[in-house]
Formats: sequence, C-alpha cells, structure tokens
Amino acid sequence: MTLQSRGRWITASGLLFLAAVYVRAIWFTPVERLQGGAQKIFYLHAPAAWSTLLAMGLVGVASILYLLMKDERFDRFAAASAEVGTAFACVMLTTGPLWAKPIWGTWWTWDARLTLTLFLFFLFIGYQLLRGAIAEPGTRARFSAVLGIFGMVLVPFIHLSVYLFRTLHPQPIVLKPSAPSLPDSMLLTLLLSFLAFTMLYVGFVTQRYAPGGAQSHVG
Amino acid sequence: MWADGTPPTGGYAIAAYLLTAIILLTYSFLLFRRGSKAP
Repeated sequence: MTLQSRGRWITASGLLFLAAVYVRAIWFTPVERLQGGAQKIFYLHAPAAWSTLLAMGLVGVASILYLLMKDERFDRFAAASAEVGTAFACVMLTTGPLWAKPIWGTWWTWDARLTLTLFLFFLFIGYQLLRGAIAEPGTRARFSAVLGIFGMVLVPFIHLSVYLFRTLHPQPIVLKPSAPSLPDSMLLTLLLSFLAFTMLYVGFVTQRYAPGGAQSHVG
Repeated sequence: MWADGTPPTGGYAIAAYLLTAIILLTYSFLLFRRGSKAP
C-alpha cells in the first residue's frame, strides 16, 4: 500500500469516526444547563484548536531538524503540517465566534488568547505565501524553517495565555495540572473528538506528505 | 428559555457543526483529487 492510499484510508476512517462523534455529541451527550446547545460547539472547537497547535508545534520541530540535518523530508513534512494546520485553524476560528456570540454577546474580542490565535493563523498563511514566493528549494526550505520555528514558539504562549493575561476565554478544562472539570459523559465525547481530529491530522498530513502530494498547492 | 430552563442557543451549534463538516470534507476532497492527479 502506497503512502498516498494509506493517508486516504486514515482520512476516511477519521471522517467516519468524526461522524460518530457528531451523533454522540448531538443526541447522546447531555445539554449543559447554563449555555444550552451552544456548549456542544466545544466538542469541535477544542479538538480543532488542539490539532492546530499540534500542527504548528510539529512544523517547528521538523524545521529545527531540517536546519540541523538538511534532509528535505523534514521540509516536506513541515510544509504538509502547515497546510493541514491552516485547515484546522479555519475550523477553530469559525467555531469559536459561533460559541462566543450567544455566550459572551459578541462574535470577537481582542483579548490575548484570541489575538494570539489569529496571529498564528496569519503565520500559517504567511508560511505558505513564503513557500510559494521562493523558487530555489534550498532557500525556500531554510527561510520557511525559520518562520516555522517562530510559529512553534507561539504555541505555548497561546496555551498559557489564559493564565498569563486577563482574558475572557475559558481556562483549560482538560489539559491542565488538576483533574478534568467535566462530567464523564461530556469528557468521553470530548476525548473521542480529540481522537477523531488527531486521526484526521495524521491522514491529511500523510496524504500531503506522500510523493506527488507535496509538489503543488491544493486546488 | 426552553421549558427545561436551557437557553435556545442550539442554532449556533448547528451552524458550527455544519461549517466544520464543510471545511473538513472540502479539504479531504481537494487532497483526494490532487492525489489522483499525481503521477
């Protein structure tokens, strides 16, 4: 089985698994009393944010490895992960305001978490524009590796921004030192969604990384 | 408020679930199509 078809199988499994998560989240997970149905957006928003930060973190790691070893496979992986991260960032930045409007009363606010996240999205876009603008492969890989490392440095700041600054954004309820503050039924739905999004990340990156998948842009 | 006391915010959730599905399915389709074109 080629890498391309392996990526397709993982993606298809991830999509089916996500469909099952949809069913569980919508019909078999209790409605939160204070927020109503809008709370269920959380089962997509948090895993999308996780996949976005995972993508940018791995872009940074692959970029460091590229600069150390000059192996073009790391550059290809970083390019793949950055593009996939952009897709997940779109989900994160779409679902976030849809939750914020009924709960905060506004679609958007310029607090630390939201602003840094938007900055990360622009960084993903800039990373791809940079790659498209440089024809010479060695120079392209070197310049984009530097930008990728900058992006990775942003990831812990985004996660910790709710502790470091006064912000409207809720604090982490799963990825934190103490136990998750969710009832078991909601926690299970969230964890299954994290798994579905991680599978999709792996499937997308595998397809994008496979020979023939990385030479051109999507479209 | 609904009869059970929860606020009627489900429309936002439906929009979020639909948009997420559209984004992920579109990206999957684009990757699939590009993979099929590759030599």
